Amino acid sequence: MKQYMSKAALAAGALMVFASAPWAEANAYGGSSCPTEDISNWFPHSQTPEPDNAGFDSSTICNFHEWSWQMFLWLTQDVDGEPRFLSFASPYELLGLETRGIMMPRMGKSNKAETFDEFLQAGTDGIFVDENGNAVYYSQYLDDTYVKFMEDNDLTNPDSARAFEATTSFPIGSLELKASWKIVEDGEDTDKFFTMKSSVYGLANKGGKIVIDTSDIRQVTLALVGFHIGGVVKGHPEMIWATFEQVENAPNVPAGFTPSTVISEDDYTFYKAGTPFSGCNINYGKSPELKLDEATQKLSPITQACRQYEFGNSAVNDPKLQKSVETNDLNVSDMNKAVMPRLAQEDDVWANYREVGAIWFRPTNALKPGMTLATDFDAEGNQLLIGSLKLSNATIETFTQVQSTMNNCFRCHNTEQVFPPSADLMPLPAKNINISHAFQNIYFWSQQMKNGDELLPAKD
Amino acid sequence: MSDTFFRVHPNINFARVGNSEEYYIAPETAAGDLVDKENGLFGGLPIKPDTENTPITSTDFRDASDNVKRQAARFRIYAYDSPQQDYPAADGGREVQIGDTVGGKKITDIVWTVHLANKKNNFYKITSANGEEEGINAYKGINPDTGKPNHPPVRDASFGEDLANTTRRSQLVIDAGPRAIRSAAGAGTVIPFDAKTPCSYADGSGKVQKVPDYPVSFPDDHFKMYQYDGAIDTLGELLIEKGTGRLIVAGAYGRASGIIQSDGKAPAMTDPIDNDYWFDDTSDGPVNAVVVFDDGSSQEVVGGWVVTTDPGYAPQTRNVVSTWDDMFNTWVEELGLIPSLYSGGSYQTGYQASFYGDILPVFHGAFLQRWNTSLPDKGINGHNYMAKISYQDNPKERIPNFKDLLRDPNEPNEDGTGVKMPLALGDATKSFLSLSPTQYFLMMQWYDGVSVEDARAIGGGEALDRDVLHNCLGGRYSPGIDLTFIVRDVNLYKQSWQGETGPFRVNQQPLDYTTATKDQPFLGVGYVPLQKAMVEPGDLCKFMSQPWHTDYNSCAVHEPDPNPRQNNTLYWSWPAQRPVQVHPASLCTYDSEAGVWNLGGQLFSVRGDGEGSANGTHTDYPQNEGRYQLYPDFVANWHKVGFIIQGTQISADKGDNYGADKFLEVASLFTSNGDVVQPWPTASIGKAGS
Repeated sequence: MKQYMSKAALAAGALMVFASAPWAEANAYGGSSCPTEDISNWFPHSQTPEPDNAGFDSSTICNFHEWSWQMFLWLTQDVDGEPRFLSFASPYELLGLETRGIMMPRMGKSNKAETFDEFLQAGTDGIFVDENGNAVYYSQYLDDTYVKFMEDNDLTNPDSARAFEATTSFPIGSLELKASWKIVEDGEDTDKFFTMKSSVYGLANKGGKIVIDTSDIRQVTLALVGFHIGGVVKGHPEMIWATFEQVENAPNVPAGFTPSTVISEDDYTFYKAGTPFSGCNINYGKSPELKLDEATQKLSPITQACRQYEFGNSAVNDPKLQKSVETNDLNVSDMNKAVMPRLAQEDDVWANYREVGAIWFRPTNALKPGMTLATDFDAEGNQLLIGSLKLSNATIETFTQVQSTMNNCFRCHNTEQVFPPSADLMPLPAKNINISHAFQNIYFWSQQMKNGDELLPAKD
Repeated sequence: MSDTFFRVHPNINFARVGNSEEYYIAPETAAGDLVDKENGLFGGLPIKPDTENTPITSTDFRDASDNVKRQAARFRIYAYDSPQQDYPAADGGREVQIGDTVGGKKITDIVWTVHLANKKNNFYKITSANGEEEGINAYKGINPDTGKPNHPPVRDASFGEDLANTTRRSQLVIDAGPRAIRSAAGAGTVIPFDAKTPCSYADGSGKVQKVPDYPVSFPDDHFKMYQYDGAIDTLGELLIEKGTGRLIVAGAYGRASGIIQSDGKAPAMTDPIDNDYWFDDTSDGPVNAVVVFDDGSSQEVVGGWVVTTDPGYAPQTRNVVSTWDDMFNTWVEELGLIPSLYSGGSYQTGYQASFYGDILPVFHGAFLQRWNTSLPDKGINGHNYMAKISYQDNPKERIPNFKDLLRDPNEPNEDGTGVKMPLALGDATKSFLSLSPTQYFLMMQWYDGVSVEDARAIGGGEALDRDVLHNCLGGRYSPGIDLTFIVRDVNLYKQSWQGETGPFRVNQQPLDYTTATKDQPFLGVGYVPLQKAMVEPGDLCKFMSQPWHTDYNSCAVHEPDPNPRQNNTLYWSWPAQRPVQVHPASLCTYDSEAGVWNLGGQLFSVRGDGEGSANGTHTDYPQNEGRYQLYPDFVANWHKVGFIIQGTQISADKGDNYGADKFLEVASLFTSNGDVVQPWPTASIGKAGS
């Protein structure tokens, strides 16, 4: 993979004085403006270089957001008529499957997106229903570094995966991506969205649940509304987890809200004007109120999405975290202000997407097997997580933005042991590479394939 | 006469209130135990009256008028020929009834004496003066001001703060007095614990003696009362089981009443557990008996105890930590119950855990929680996975990192670890629940390969003692449902257990009814934790919520206390005993293709009537969901709450029944779907936009 030396990396060389301490307090908390590097070489978007993952400099919060934005631009760069990320492998491809729903062997490598089958949100199985009554769909992608690592280590073989060295992490450059897609209906204005023609499986009522109907492939136009990037850079085997959203998805919940607070008087893509907080982000997944009309493929009730934290942080935090939070949020805001107008100047549809935030470990090379990452602190009470500590994408983690047990990426992306979705499968011992849910899914799917079972739903 | 001696079993048994005259028999199998491998039936189900062990069905929870049937406690007499040295006893004993021969003599009668009282208002509050529920810690140490042992503040302090005060003992204690009943009197004999029925007891020879001067006391004798569903004028009744002569103790009706205040209104009911001036009709007391022989001789029986408490809304859901687990732990660690398991201050590494006795029931307890909670599929799958582990499996393969999964009760640092199991709340300033140290040790023994497959052999009487307590809440005594933290206090028990007495027996105060007089209260202060005073009628229930309704209502979901750093996630209090989110059978749909019933959605168990703000359970705050927002509303509506029962016990017009793989809500009288149930995790809101 072609590597570019970023100015951040060059700056890091000049700042070796900080090498013994992962963070220089002044840089970490100084609230310096962001970007600190000259980002002019990112533009035009068609020429954005790939971030220098191997030369990444961890010395400021800003560097992580620069990486996030640069990676977003690189991944969305047009390559042969479509954004680069669409050429990446799906987790299914590593197992040689067309899609999980129909267990069909792939007929050679294709750059065309498969039929999308993910419609349940991670963790709580919620269905995100848009204002038209359609389910929002999800898709996942893995870059070549990730795929090569899996192949080189025979990690699509469950026995090899189970025995894999617990302390070995994904290599620098590995990327795990997730996109959320809204079905475009006739007459909808999509000027501000990246859209593509694709197909999704229809939905059906079966076994008391709403499931994909593998006999019903529907040709649709999909609009990208959310985008997760998880990527390994030097010093961060835990991955930097960044997320982006289309700017008109949902309104931000103000600090000090009450249940009756009306979150916005304006309509958003996933929010009806005048909805109070008590009507936001309700997960009907376990409620008898959730209904699917199979004939029209419409779901109800509609989800009113509200973004709980504009930059992935609440206003009030543990005092130990407050300065890094303030710096982080300012840096994200500044990066958005720096990049989005440049894209707008190019009349680039990606100008309508913004970074919500990113989260990573404060210390470098700190990933270990068996980390629960249940709080933002390590066992000694020192700050472990940094950046956007309550980071959620309003379209991907709609229903778990507030809950402390699921309110950022690491709450679920950790290195604990993983129990299988059914009793006839073997569990996954605690490992560094468990940080990737794509790896976990492949591990369980590969066992199910051996058993001849239908593949079970994916995690994010 | 031989050396044969007799004991009442179960040692402690539980009646439960209901607003019906009818009753069913308390379960004699343990929830979470697979009792019928053929049809997959789990234990814990109550028993149909006048049957040996026929489990109830979904239609047995209510009478024809839709009133909640009471749960009655059934007691038997077991004969033992050898003094007990070990636990379990080498001599498993045998049940004896009228007509049986023991030592060459025929039993002609068994004369029972039961004394029920409720001392809730003449005791201390559950919450300490510092606002914390400290459990037994509230009774530790000496108050430097008084020089006496510490204790929480007194309930109903306006009556004075001296529990021994005559007025307090007379007016604040509900004392129905003793009642005797003869097995020989047969079925149909009913002896109520009301004011009209004379007090009586069996003397040492088995003769029934009247106690006309016993100072029976009910609230309306002393106060003008505000009543729900009538006056508290009885604590239940005694009956004799048809065909067996066993004793049946039925409790009262679930009533609450309050002393009308100077403004002419009912007293405030705003606290989840301590509400002054209120009474309820729960109770407890000793169950004694005298066996009478055909030669005119008689023999006293080692007595038991009966407790009347909340209804059993989910009898088949096992508590991961039960009352038994706490009691067993106390006896193992402090009273030398099983030296091969624990002696010299430490657990013995050679002791073999029993997979079916010690391990699988805990996993079953975990997997049953889903029916009374709203777990996401990942949690349900994880619990199902654990429940399917077999003895033949290699534990280290099935659970690669067991210690990372299970909260260690011996590590105080893990008290605040919300990611470990059990995922439920702790008590006495512990944030989260952990297994008892004995349970945890046995788990680790199994994990390390030091185990056997089968449960240990145990006699029928001791099995009853154990299984009844397995059906009761343990671990989180704040204060609890059935019994509370006092089960961890050795002073509650007869500690010299070897010989005739046996383990786990309540240290009952001998009561000389010949001294009773009309103008003086008969019962004293009684048992106080960590002190030596023996246990009187009413001394067990006095540690519970006043009235029980408020605690039941409030204990849906909470933040932990203390709340760990950064936490806003809500956890369940007592889901096995107090269902929060349920799957109503009425929402299930039949899949004719597959020939099975599918689950429908979930509703809150306590979900009220009416829509929106007209529904008394409605709230916009997740921390308050699944309960009435005003306590008196639950007192008025507790009888509408539905019951959770296995699908095999719910007949269906298609497919015979709903299937052994489901535990569904039936017989709810609520007419609303209530607020929307969302899967865990949910979070508390309202703290500055947290």
